[in-house]
Amino acid sequence: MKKILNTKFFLDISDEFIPKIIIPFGVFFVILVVWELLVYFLRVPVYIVPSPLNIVDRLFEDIVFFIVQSSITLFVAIAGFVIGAFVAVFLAILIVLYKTIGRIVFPISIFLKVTPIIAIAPLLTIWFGFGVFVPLFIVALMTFFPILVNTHFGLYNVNHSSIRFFQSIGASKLEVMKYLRVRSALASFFTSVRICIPLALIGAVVAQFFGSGSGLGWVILVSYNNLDMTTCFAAVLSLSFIGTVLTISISFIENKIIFWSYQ
Amino acid sequence: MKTKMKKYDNDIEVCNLTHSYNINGKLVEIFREINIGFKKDSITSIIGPNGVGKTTLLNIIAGFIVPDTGNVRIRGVSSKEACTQKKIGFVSHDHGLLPWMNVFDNVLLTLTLNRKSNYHNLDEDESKVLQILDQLGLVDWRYYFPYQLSKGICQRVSLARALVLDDVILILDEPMANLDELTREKLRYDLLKIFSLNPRTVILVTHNITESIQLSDFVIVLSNQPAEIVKSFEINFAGKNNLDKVIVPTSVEFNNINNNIRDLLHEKNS
Repeated sequence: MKKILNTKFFLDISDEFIPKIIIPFGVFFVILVVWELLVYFLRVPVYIVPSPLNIVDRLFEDIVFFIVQSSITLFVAIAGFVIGAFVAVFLAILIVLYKTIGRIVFPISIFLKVTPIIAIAPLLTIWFGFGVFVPLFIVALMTFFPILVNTHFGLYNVNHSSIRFFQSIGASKLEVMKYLRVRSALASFFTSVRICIPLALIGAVVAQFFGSGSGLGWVILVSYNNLDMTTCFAAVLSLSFIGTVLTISISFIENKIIFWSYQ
Repeated sequence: MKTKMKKYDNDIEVCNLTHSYNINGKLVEIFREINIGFKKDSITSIIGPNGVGKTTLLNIIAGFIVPDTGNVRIRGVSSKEACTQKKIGFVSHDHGLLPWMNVFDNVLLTLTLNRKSNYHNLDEDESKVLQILDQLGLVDWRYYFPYQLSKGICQRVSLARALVLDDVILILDEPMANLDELTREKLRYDLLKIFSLNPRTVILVTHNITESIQLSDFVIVLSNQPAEIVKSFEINFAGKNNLDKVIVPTSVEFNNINNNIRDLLHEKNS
C-alpha cells in the first residue's frame, strides 16, 4: 500500500516537473548542444560565431567587468524608465482630470512616438555631450509614450456602475481619481511596464553606442570594432539575463499588488 | 426661485420631459411628455417593456443625461446640484464594488465620500456600517473581498453601501436583476424591513411585477416607445406591509393589481 502511494506521489511531481521544467530547459539545452557541435564540426572561426562554451568562458574570465558594465546599463534602463514613467503617469492623471491638457499633450507625444528616438541619439550626444545623461534621456523618451497611453486608458475606462454611484453620492473629481481611477488603472499600467522593459534596454544599449564610454552598449561596440565576437556575445548574453530578471520581477510585483484579478 | 419657494410634498418632480436619441442618423423619440411626482418617503416602481428607456429615465433623473426639454427638480434643486449636494444614491444592476477593498471598507468609503462637513466620527461611521450590514445579513462576510463572494452577495453589498446613507434619495436600476428567485424574495423582505424602520424616497426600476407590487407604494407603468405613462397605481391594500413572512402575501387585491399591470404591459407591447 505504502509503495503504491509513493509511486503516486512521484508521478504527481513528475506531472508538474516535465512540462514546467524539463521541456523549456531541455529545448534550450538541445539548441546549445547543436550550436556547439555545428561550430565544432564546421570549423567556424571564432571571429564569426563563437561556441557557447567559449562565450561562457569569456564571461567568467572577466566576470567583474561584465557585472560592472551590466549594472551601468541596468541603472540607465531603470532610471530612465522611472523618469519616463513618472512623467507619463503624472500627465495621464492630469489629462483625465482636465481634458484641455490632453489636447496639448497628445499631439506632442504622438509626434515624439512616431519619431524614432534612436535616430536623434547622435544629435543629442552633440548637444549634451558624453556620459550618462543622453542614455537616460533616450530611455525616458522611449518608455514615455506606451506608459502614457496605457495609463490614460486604464484611468479613463473604469467600471461604469462604480463611477455612476460615486458621482451620484457627490464624490468630487479628485475623490473619484483617488479612490477609484488610480487603482483601476494599475492593470493597464503594468501591461505597459512589461512592454517597456525591452524598449528601455534597447534605448540604453543604443544610446551607449554613441560614445558613452561605459555600459554593455559600449562593450558591444568596442568588441565589434575589434572583431572580438566572444566578448560581443558575452555582452548580449548579459543583456538577455538582465531582461529576463526584469520581466520576472515585474510579474512578481504585479501579482503582489493586483491581488484581486487573480482569483 | 419660484420652485424653491414652493412647499413641496413631492421629493422629485419630473416635468414635461421629452427626449430623443440619434441612432444612425435617425431621430428616435424615447419620451413624450412625461410628468411624474415622486412622493417623499415613498417607494415608486417604474415598470415597462424592455428597451423602453427606463434606465435612460433614471439617468436623466440622476443628472447624468441632459433631456431635450423639460426639467427635473430634486428637493427644489436641479439634478446636477442634487448630486453635488450629495443627495442621491444610484445603484446599477452591475454591483460596481471596488475589488481591492473588502465589504466593510467598500461600505465605509461611501460614508467618507458622502460626508457633508469636515467633522466626522470614525467610530460612529463604523457602527453605522455594521448596523446596515447586520440588517442585510452581511456581517459574516465583512472581511471578504468582492471576488471571493457570489454575485448575489455582491449585489447586497452594493445596496448596503447606498442604504448606509440615510438621507439620500435612492435610485435603484434593477438591483435584483441578476439574482435567483429565492435570494430575491429574501432580499425584498430585508429591504422592506429596512425601509419600514427608516423610510426614504426610492425610485426602483424593475422587470418583476411581483417585486414592484410588494416593495412599492406606487407603481408606474410605461408604454412602448415613445414612452408615456400608461397608468399609475397606488398600492395600499391591507396586509401589504406584512413583515411576518418572507413570502409575498397573495391576497385578492394583490392578484387584481398584478393582473392589471400584466394586462397593460401585454396590451402595450403588442
